[in-house]
Amino acid sequence: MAVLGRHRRLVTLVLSYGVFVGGLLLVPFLFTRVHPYTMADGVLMVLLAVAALGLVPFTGYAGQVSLGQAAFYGTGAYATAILTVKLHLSPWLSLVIGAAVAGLLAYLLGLALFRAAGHYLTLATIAVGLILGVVVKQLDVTGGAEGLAGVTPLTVFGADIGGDVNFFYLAAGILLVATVVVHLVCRSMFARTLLAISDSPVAAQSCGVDPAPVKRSMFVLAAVLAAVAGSLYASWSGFVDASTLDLNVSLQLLIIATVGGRRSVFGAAVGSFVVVSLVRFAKEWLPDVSSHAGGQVEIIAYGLALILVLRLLPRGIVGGAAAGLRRLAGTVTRTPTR
Amino acid sequence: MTSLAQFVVTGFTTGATYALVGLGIALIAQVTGVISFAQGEFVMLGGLTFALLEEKGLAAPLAALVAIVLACAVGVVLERLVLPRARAGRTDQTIMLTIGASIVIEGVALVVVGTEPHFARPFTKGSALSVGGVHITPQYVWVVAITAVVLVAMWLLLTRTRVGWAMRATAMDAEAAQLSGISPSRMSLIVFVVAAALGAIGGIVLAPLQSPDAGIGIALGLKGFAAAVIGGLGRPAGAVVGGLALGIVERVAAGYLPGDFSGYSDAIAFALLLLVLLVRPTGLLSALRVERV
Amino acid sequence: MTDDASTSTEPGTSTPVLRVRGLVAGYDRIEALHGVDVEVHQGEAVTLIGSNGAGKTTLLRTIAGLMRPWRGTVEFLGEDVSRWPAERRARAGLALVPEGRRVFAGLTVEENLRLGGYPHPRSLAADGLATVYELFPKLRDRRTQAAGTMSGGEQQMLAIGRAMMSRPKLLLLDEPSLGLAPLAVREVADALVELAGRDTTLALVEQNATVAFHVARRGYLLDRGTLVTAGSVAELREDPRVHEAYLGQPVK
Ligand SMILES: Nc1ncnc2c1ncn2[C@@H]1O[C@H](COP(=O)(O)OP(=O)(O)O)[C@@H](O)[C@H]1O
Ligand SMILES: [Mg+2]
Repeated sequence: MAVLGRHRRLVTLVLSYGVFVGGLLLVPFLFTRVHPYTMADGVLMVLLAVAALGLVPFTGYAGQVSLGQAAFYGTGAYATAILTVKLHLSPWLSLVIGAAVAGLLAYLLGLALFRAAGHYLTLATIAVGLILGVVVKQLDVTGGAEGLAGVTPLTVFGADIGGDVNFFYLAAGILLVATVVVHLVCRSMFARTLLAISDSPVAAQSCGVDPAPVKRSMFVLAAVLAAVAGSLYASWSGFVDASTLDLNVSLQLLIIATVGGRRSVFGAAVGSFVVVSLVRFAKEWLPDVSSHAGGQVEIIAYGLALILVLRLLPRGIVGGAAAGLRRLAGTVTRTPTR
Repeated sequence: MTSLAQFVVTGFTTGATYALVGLGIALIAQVTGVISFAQGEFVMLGGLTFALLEEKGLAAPLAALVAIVLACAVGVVLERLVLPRARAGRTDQTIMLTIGASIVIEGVALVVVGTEPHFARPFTKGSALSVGGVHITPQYVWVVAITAVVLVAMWLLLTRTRVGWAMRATAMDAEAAQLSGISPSRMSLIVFVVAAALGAIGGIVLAPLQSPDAGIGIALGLKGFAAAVIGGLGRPAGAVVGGLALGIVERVAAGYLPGDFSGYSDAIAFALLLLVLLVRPTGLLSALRVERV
Repeated sequence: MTDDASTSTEPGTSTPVLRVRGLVAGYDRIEALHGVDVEVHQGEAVTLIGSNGAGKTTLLRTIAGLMRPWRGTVEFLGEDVSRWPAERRARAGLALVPEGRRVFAGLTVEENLRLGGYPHPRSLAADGLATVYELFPKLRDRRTQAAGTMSGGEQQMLAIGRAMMSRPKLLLLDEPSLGLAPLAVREVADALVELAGRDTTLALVEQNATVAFHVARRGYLLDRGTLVTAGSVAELREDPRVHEAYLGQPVK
């Protein structure tokens, strides 16, 4: 019992990653067989999970609401499109450059923004996304309103990645790596500081913790991950337009992080699965209303999901499930709770 | 010169709507501490309902009344059902809840009304006045007059009535107000309803000038936010001045953008908002001492 | 002042104005009060003393309804008000002058006072104002001054006056002497003695034992969230535990 107790954290860790990887491996199997999913949904799901992952530390731990993830997602996507189409750089190099640009943008914004209270960040991030959305529609280099087509596909060791299934494995691998990185960040002292900040900003301040640099780093991490996802999206779809910068993308990512669980690294993937499914099923079963409403009817489901989760399951699906399991395990092994 | 005056006049009218939205946002923020991202949806609800009912042949005052009542009812639902009772220290959660609510409101409007804009007639017929070459349509006069009346009414409400006093006390120190027997929960409900009505009125007066559709809420809400932030969220009067200033700057800047850049006019308000946030997050007007109403 | 029978009712002989039983309360997961029992009777001036961090503010805030009790009950005028929101308790006549005064800084003195009378019809305000101005003549001179620009002592008088405007049946005061100049402490203490002499039922929380014992007839000593002792002021004055709690402070 004592041994189990001591290794409990490790067991939980191995188990949860096992379930996570197993779940990812199930996706190609499910999404190629179960109607109405398509493998493209599977790819999109993983990309959105990568883009939303950075919101776990940022929203869940730093208590910040960003509605500007699309700005960074779009930055990554456009960087890859411009660099591969106009400058013929390698898509991998473009991905790195795009991530760096997004990170820098976030850093500069963060320098100014984190002096003030939380809601200003939400506003500012929305504004950045909307401004970029207008700008890319005007510039030649971004292809104007038509966008850019013919983005160079990714290659691995010189070999093409044929088909959505293979691309899925690549993206899932990146998601896994990103998850581990974010997990380590969340486990660090860094995140404990953040938790203290979000639970009681006054208390943290009185302990001499300056929350601004910590929040800024988290913001940069979120931006870099979103840019990587956007860049992968550009390579995969071969086409980028202003819709990658749309407020709806930011909303989608925030909802993904919240529904999944803002304090769990697996939350992004689970939330992404839920949101992609919502979209797919809404498109499938609500065609009439949807066309009348400009194909936007699924946003009601988004909004309701956001409200219901925040009110009923504030820690999201993963957070709620983990708490439930812990309670279950607690009653089974009769381990006294802290 | 004439065109500049024309831009100012036009900008002043849209600015009036921004001012009403911004005022609602600032009041809610002060009295309840909630940063509401749903405020633009009340403009949409007001304007769209008004235009729709008018198209269906309802008399304008009646259509306006129904639109305001509907917006207020949605405001009650938002405050009572969507937002949690205990809000202290939950800023991020309440922000996201108002975002969720605004998505749902927009989505429902899309399903019920569709994506097409609807048209409202100007409140009165009549040709535009020409004052020194500047065209002033009767609707412009209506917008300015109604906004002015609403603002005066708000000022009277806040400074001359019991409820207004209670709202201000809650804004200044919610606990101290509570100890004087003022219910913060009731004040919260009242301020959400008042803000909903302000938004709806903003939407109604604007409807004959810019045909509303189900999607206008987000942009108008953000511009209202810009108005409130420019004025400093702590001052209702600041939100009003900020809204009018934003409307004018936006219109003048758009008017003078060279042809190649006319596509950027949509971004002006947001660029201004971003600039204020980056340079002076406490509001541009906070340097001037505006009386805290 | 003489001890007359009505001001020193033995607990249990009549329904107390306030009866707190087994009160447990705290912040997040930190328990600050571990089961406190307090009674205040009609016309009585009671004090609650204790060192910094003993839980005095927590107790008053829980009684006033600004905090929810974790366990235990608060009875006011024979009714269990534990689940009432603070504003309902205020309307029922339970007034708290909070720690740090908390006047509405941007409003004038008279506006502050009128807000204090919020639970009552406007017609009663003039009467209430007259009473407060009589008690604190200084406030009358400053009627149109912004409350935030006044001295600490004047703000404290305003805070007490604001509470009196609600015609309380029980007046709770949280360290009214805190941070005041010695002269102002005297003024406030004298006003409280005056109030107590007019049969205002009051419970005074103090770190300043001199003030506390000057105003009250009976008191409780609170230490780290628990009541250590209770008794008449004369008894408390002699109690070594009281001296311990006021390390270094003269207790007279
Ligand atoms: N806002 C708060 N959050 C957490 N703990 C608090 C808070 N306020 C007071 N405490 C703790 O509760 C205990 C009692 O505090 P308080 O009631 O303010 O004491 P007193 O008024 O007697 O000085 C102290 O240990 C204090 O640290
Ligand atoms: Mg205290």
